[in-house]
Amino acid sequence: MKLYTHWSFSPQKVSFALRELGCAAEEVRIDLLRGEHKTPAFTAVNPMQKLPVIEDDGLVLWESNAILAYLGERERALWPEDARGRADALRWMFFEARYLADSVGPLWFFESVAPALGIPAEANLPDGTVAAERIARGRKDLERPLAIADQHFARSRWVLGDAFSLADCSLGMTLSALAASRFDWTPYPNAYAYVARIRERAAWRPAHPHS
Amino acid sequence: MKLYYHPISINARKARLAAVMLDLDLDLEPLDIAAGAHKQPEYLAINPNGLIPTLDDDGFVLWESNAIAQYLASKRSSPDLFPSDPRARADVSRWQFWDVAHWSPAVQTLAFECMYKKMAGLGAPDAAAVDRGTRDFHQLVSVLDAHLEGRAFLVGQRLTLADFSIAAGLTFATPAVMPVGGYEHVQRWFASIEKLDAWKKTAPPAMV
Repeated sequence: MKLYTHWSFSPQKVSFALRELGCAAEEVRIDLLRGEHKTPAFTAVNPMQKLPVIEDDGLVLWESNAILAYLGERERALWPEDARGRADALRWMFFEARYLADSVGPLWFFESVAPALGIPAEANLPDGTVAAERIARGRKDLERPLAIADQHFARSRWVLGDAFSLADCSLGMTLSALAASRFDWTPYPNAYAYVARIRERAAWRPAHPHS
Repeated sequence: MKLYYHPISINARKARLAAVMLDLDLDLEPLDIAAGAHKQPEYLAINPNGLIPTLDDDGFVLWESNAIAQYLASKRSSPDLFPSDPRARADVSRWQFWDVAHWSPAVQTLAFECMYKKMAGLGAPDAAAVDRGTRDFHQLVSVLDAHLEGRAFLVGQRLTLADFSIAAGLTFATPAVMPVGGYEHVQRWFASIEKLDAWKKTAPPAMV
């Protein structure tokens, strides 16, 4: 299996999952900072020009959460076998894709990665959006989803309860990336404790340029 | 099985399309969104997100429309609508994740700015939001159009949940002025979805 990847948190969800599963993959590094995701060659692999992508014996799959679900089904490990368990896992992964990922992205990049790389804090994104506006909007948009997550992790050790699963590779990596930013976790102690548990796992690695 | 929904909710439609196609009986419970029923404590106790739809299957409570659709398919073991083969299943999930991460945000922006605001008397469309939504829509519908060239459906040879998830986003394509013109493969595919009994049965009431 081939994994197109980078140190950003979305492809790192899959790397985390592969280590948890004890699976190997040939890694192809696509440097997002150098625009390697916009080349015709990579666009032919994923017309959305995003990471991660896997190629598994003819199957070309993008969307990180679809990849995680696929790995769970293929390996029959760290993934529910019953319909309700699967629905529960997918529910939280759809929640992550819609309400966490896009808001965490700019906070993680501008507040955690940019200082490490010497990128100026006041920057514009390629589409013309002012970074500061995107960050402010991200913080606001995260309030409700973080409250939901906090309420959930007050009762639940992992996404699916007592058992760690590949759903944790999704929410865990994204929330861990958020914890690397200057986001204020004071209202969300249970979600923060969840991040601490994720980071204690042997298979977890931080997602940043030096990982 | 009870589904909390609203007649004009695109997300509720995804769940309802699956239910009708699978011949599953859903006890439909409409929520009075205009009156803020979805933000009341009684509903928040069921779905803390305060969003629709929510499924209650004999105490098993599920939100996220795409997860609901997958769960309904499992009740009938429908291999066509939601394949059991891991690769085909992953392919369906891929489009459903593309839906929530990219497609739905763009179509929701356009539906809200260009249609819903007018309906609800919430003022003029925000030009910057319309610009952004339109730009994103073009980028996404181009990807969809290229994928649908030479294909009758999104995944494999048959209708699957993926077709429902993406088609639902075009529910208000006309009143919300979504720029589908020129994307011939998407138009051909969508025309075939519109002919489905399930599509007609889950149509929103005419409003604009």
